[in-house]
Amino acid sequence: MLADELRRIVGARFVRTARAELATFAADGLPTHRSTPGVVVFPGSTAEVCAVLKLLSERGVPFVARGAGTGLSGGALAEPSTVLVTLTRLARIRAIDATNRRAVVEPGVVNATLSRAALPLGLMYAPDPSSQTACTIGGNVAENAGGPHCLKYGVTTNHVLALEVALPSGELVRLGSAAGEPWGADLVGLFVGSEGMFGIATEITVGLVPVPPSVRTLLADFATLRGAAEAVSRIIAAGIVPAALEMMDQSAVRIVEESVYRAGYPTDAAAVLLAEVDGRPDGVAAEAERAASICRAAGARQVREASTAAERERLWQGRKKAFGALGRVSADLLVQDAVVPRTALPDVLEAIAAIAERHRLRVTNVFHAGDGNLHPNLSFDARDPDALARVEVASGEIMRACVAAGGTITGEHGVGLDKIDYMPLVFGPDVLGLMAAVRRRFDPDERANPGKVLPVSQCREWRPWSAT
Amino acid sequence: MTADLAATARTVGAAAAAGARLFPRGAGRWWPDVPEGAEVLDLSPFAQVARFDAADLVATAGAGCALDRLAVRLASGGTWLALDPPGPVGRSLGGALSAGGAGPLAAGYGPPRDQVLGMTLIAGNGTVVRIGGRVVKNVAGFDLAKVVVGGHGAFGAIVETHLRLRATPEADRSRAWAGPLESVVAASRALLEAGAAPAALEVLSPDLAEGLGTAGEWVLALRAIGTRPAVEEELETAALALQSLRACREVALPRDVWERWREVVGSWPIVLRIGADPSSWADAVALAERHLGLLEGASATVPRGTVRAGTRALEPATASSMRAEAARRGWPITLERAPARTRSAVGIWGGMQPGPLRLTRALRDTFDPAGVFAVPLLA
Repeated sequence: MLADELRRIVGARFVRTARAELATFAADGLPTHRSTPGVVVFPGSTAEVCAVLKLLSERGVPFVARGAGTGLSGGALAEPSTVLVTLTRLARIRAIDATNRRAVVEPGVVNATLSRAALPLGLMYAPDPSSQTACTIGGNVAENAGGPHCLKYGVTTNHVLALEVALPSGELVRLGSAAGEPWGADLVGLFVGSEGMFGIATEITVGLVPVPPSVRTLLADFATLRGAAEAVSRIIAAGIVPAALEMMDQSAVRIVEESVYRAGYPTDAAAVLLAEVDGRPDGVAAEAERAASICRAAGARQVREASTAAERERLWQGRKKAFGALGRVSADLLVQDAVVPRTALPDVLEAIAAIAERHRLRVTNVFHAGDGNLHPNLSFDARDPDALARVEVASGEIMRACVAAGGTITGEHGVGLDKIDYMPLVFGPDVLGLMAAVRRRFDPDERANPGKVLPVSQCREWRPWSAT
Repeated sequence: MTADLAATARTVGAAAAAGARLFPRGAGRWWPDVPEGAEVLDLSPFAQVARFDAADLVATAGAGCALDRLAVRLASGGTWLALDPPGPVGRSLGGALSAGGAGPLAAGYGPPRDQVLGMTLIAGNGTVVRIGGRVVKNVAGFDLAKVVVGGHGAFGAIVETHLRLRATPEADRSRAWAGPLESVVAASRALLEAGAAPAALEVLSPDLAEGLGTAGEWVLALRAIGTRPAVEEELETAALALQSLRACREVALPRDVWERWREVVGSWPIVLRIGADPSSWADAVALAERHLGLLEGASATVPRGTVRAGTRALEPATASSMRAEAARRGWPITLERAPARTRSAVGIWGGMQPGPLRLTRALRDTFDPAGVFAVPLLA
C-alpha cells in the first residue's frame, strides 16, 4: 500500500491518512474550492523529498506540494487520488552570508522568520506578503509572491538567486548560481512562479537587501477614490520610488477601525493612502515632504506622518491585518487579485463597485496601488449556493474589466484553480500550448500539481513547425 | 522595408520545415559576423515604439529599435529605461535583451530581464507567441520571457517588447576613487558593508579606466540616481566611508563616462561574463588574467559580482579550463561576444551540471523544435 511505503521513507508519524486529519488540508485561503487529498506526507529532509517523489513516479501517482496553505488561488489543493507533500518540516535557515547579502533556506522557512534572522546583520528579505508571519519561502517561490514593499524592492523572482529542485522524477538538480548569474538559460526565473508544476524547491538561495537607515510612513486621506488614485500616479511620475504605496477604500477603513487592528484611520475618508519612503535620512525626509505635498495637491484632506516606530507599526498593522478584520464581516471572504495600469485605477475601481452592486455583493478594496495590483475582496457566505454563484460571476466580470483596461488576471496570488478559466482572456492557444510543452520538460507525466494553471482544453498542440 | 510580423513568422516556419538555419539580427551592431550556412533573419524593420504610456511608465518597442533612439523617445515623456548594455551607439533593443546584456545599472535596477514585462516572440516553429503583459506585476502562467531574455536568440526571435520604465530622475551623479587593486577591493567592501545601495558601483581595470578618460589605475565608480537630496546623500556617505579608509583617492570622471563605458567595453572583440560573488570579483578578474593573459580590460559590477573580461582571442581549450576552474567556485561564464567561429567552438554557455544542461537542451528543443536558429549555445 502506498501509505505504508511512504511511512518507510519518512516515518509513521509523518504520513496521514485518517479522514479527520486529511480534512485539515482540504482548503487553502480560497473559500470557493475544497478538495481532500488521498494521503498527506511530511518529508523531513531533501533526501526524503527525493525518495517520496521517486516512489510516486514509480507508482504514477500525482502529487501537490504545500507550504503553509496560505495561498489564495487554490494552488495547494489536492484531490483524493493525489498525495499532498507538505514541506513545513523543512524549515531551517541553512546560512546567512552578510558579506554577499544572501541567505540559503529550506522551503518551509516562514517568510518573516528570515527577515528577523537577517535583521541583526543589517539585512532583510524584501518580499513581504500580507501573510508573511505564516507563509513559507517555498510557497512564495511557487507563486512568485509579492507584498506591499515590492513596489520598490521587486517581487520574489527578483530575489531568488539559485534553487535546488527535486524534479517530479525524484532527481535533484541545482538551478542558477549563488551570485545570481544563470548557468545557461534562466531556469531559476522560469521555475519561480511555476505554481508547483515543475517540481519541489528543496533549497532556496535568496538575495537580502540592507535595512534602510531611515523610514517615513505617511497616511493621506482623500474625499474621493479618484483623488487618491491620482496622487499615486503623480508620486511615481515625480521620480519618487516609495517603498510602499497602499490604498484602502472606505469600506476597508471602517472594517479595520471596528476591529482589534484599529490603526486610527479616518472613517469618513473615501480612501486612505499609506505611503512609505525609505533610504538615507536626508533623502527620505525630502521625499516624504514631497510625497505629502503631492497628496495635498491631489486633494488629500490631511496627510499625517507616523512620528514614532510604534505609530508606524500601528498604521501598517491596520493594512496588513485588514484581511483578518474582514473575516468579522461575513463567513467567507474571496480575496481577488488582478493588475491594471496605474492610470486605469479610478475607472476600474468604479467598474468593480458597479459589478458588486449588480450582484448584490459587498466589495472592499485593500491593495497595492503603486503597482496597480488590485485586491477586491468579496464578502459572502459559501453555504449559500446563490451567493457562491454570484461571487463566481462577479469575479469573472472583475477579471474581464481588468483585462479590458490593459491589465492581467493575477499579480501575486497565482492562477491555481481559481483563475484557470480566465487564462484564455490573456493568452492565446499557442502560448498556452507552449507553456504546456515547457511544463512537460520538467514533468513529462504531468503529475506535479495536476489540473492547475493551464486550461488544457484551450491549449493548442505545440508543433515542430507552424501550419501557417 | 516594412515590419511584417506574419511574413517574418512565415519565413521562420518555412525555414524550419525546409531544415534551413536563420540568424536573428537587429541592428547588426553586436555580433561581428553571421554563422556559416545561416541566413540573416532581419529584425531591423521592427524599429517602432508602438505604444508609449508615460504616465504608466510602460512602453512597447520593436526589437530593431536602437537603444539611443529609444532613449530619446522615452525622455520626451519624462521617462527612461534602466538598460545600459555594452555596445556601440545604435545597438538594438532586441539584441541587448537577447544577450542579457546588463550594464553597470544592473546593480541598482536589476538585469535586463527585470525591465521586460512581456514580449512578442517568433518561436522556432514560426509561431507568434505573446508572452507576459503590459503591467508591472504579473504572475499569470509560466514566465517564459525569463528563458528568452539572455537566451541569445536560441529560443526565438524577439520582435517586440513591453518595457518597464522609470520616471526621469531629478539628479544623476557619479564619483570615483582610484588606487591599487587591493585598495579598490577594500573600498568596494567598505561601501557594501556601509549599506550602499547605489544605481551603479563598478570597478574598472586600469586600461579600461584610462580608455574612459579617467585615472590609469583601478577605479571604483559610484553612480547615484534619484531625487537630489537622496543622490547627494548617497555620494557623501560613500565619500565619508572611503575617507576613513584612506585607501583610495578621489578622481574626476568625464561627464559621459557611462556612455563611454558602453562603447569601450562594447568594442572588445571577445567579451566573457563571469558570475562571481560580490566579495570575490577580484578573484574572478585574476582568474580571467590567469587564463587569458593580458586583457583588453575588465569591469566588475560589484553588488552583483558580475565581471566582464575582454580579450582578443579565445581558444576552446582555454575556455574549457577557465570554465572548469570557475565552475569549482560555482561561477558560470557566458561568452557574451565573439566571432561566429569562436562562438561555435567555445559555446556561449559551458561548464554546466548534467541536470541544468539537459533541461536547457530540452527547453531549446521546445522553443525551436527544428533547430532553425543558428545560435551555438553549447560547444
